[in-house]
Amino acid sequence: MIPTGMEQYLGIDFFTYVLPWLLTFAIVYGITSHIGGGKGIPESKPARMVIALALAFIVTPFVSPWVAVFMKMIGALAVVIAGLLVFIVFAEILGIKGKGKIDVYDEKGKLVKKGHEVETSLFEAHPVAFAILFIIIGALVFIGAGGLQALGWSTAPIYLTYNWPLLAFLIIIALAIWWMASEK
Amino acid sequence: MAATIDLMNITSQNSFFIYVIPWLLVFAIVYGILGHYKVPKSNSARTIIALVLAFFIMPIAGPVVAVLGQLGMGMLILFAGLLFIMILFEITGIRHLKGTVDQEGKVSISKKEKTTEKYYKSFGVAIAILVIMVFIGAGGLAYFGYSAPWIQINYPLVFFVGIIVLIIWWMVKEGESK
Repeated sequence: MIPTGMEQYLGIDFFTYVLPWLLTFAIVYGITSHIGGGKGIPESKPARMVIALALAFIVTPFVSPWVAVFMKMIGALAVVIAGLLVFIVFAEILGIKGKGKIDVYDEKGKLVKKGHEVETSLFEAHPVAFAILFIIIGALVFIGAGGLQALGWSTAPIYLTYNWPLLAFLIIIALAIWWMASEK
Repeated sequence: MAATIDLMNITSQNSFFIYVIPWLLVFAIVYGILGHYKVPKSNSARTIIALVLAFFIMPIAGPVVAVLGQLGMGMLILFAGLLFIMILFEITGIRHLKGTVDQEGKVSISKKEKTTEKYYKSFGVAIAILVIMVFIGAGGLAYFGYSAPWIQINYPLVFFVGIIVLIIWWMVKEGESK
């Protein structure tokens, strides 16, 4: 999973120890500084630093075997984003716009009209549909990258994790139900 | 990079991870929280309390580190997965629109709400469930002495059935609001 040749310059431990350590440290320190109305919990900066430092040291040995999960996810993210960009470019070239329905309120905040039609971008016209689509894509990428094994959730029948036809089938069922129910 | 390997070996051989780091973690948490709420007022007293409580962790540090490490790793991977979805949301600029009509009857878009803000309850519940599952997966229950045979569930299937249920609930709710 480590890029060939790269480890000669940076060393394999750069990917398996240094980066996970840095990531854990940054996330823990970032979150502890963010909560508590921006003041951070605990308020003492050195205490937050030490907590982040200690947690990073504790977590790193456990993350190291699963670095490949992050790499696969980042790779998938690049591919998905490239695909989305192609879709957006084509939609813009062809001038495809979505017709979304919004609720309209007056200046006092009282609902005046429900389902007012406006022309907007495809993503804003169908936010729920796209959100569901992205959640499904995210879940599939997560599972494909081995996220479930890393979390220790695949102790039960492991074959199902990669049973893509079944997953695709479940998604098609869900879409069919959605389509049927949304039909007026 | 051999230096890194040596560092890892030396630190683990000297029980760095098993004793020093948990001690430091507990000390920092207790001292930080006591300092945050200024209880007790004396700084020396807070330091001694944190010091004593940090020493209390040492005899049971091994199992605690194992659970904490697994839990941290699980949270990190979950965080990466959620970040993936959030990036997709943001890059496409998915927003829920809200209109305002002025005195002349002209409708303008006044508010663009994020999906996670609009459906914060659903996202909150979903994340809470995921975190609980990570906790169980990390052996959190086993640490507290609960051997739970009922957790041997086919999680991938439950996960996807959950997603389908969420989709149906979402769409029914949307249908009702129209």
